[in-house]
Amino acid sequence: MNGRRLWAVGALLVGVGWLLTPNPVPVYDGIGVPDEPYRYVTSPEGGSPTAPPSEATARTPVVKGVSKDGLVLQTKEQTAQFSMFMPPGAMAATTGPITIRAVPQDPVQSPAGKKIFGNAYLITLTSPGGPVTLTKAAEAASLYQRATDTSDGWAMHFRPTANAPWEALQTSRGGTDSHVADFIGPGEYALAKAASQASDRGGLPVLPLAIGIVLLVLVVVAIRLRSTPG
Amino acid sequence: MSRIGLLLLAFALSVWLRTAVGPVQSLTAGLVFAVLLLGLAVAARTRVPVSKRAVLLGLAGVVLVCLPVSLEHLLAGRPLHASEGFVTWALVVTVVATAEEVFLRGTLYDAVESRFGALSAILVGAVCFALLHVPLYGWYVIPLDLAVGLVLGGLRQQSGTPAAPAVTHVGADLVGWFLR
Repeated sequence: MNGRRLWAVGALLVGVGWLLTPNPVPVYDGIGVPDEPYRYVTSPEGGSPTAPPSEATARTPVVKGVSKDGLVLQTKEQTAQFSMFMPPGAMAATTGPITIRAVPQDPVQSPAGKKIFGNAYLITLTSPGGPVTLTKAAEAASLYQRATDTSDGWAMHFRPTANAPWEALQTSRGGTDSHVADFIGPGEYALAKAASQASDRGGLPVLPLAIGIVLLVLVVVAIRLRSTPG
Repeated sequence: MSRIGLLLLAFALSVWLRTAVGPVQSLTAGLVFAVLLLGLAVAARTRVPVSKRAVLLGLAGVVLVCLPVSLEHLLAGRPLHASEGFVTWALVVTVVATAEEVFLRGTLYDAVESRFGALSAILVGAVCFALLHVPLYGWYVIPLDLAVGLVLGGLRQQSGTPAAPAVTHVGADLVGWFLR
């Protein structure tokens, strides 16, 4: 086969492979961008100060009494410590625009028997026309929070005002260290877990690693011996 | 065990160790994997001659491999991914991609080619290449990575050196950052 035909075959192969693969990137070696350290409003005791956490704001016009656009709210850390998805028509107000804002807070009070290790995020919904209410479409709204570590046991908690008790929400893992729950309404949201579960990542699986390395060394030696002339 | 069998076993162990040392997408896991593959290549005395032709072929390969995704990105009007964090990521990815090519299209290719011919060497390398990415992305990556693996093998065969597919692999990875 000549050069041009080989390139054509290559292009065909890549094209077909691309068509058969959902959300493909060309090759890409699966090296994720590491998260920056968690940013605290107030660093934990004994911890060094961090960069201040960011807040997030989004706006939507109001058409026929409800929010026109779907909104994505995301703070600016790598990876975002808070993000939220609000579908179109999820908020009602007499006039627009509706502004939704997420502001990191120092969690001065934790849920009973649990501890909030990171920040709480205060969500407010405002419009120039007065109060903003949620419609049935808001049932599809969800929010993500990044935990301070990758351990299990985190649950999203909510309280509508600073004086109300925290309420645990149905929470699922949304990534290595992020957790997702439904948006209930304006108020404070925070990830908490049992105070005794102070974290963390668990050690490396030493025995399997040691066995794997020993096996690999043996294989390398075998390859080396077979590569030696004579 | 034959030399090819040993290399495949070592490759499987390296993939497994990458998943065992921590989050599989972490920089540390990627670097551990690269060091293991380069260690195997050194043990097997793999040669990587670099020539102007190999580099040019490799660059042409970047265009080929990235064409469909780039076109889709362009036609959809999607913005390029932000460059924040790119430099550190790019350095690690360059090491990992080069190590993969030196082993798959160098060490393993040479072993399979000397026994079963170039076509078998291209196929074995492509299958290994596709499988190694499964722990990172899931089974859905098989079609594209198999196709790209065949192209990388073709570049190795045409250029006579793993340098050409290494240039393509590194280039496609770096372009891939912006097309995420």
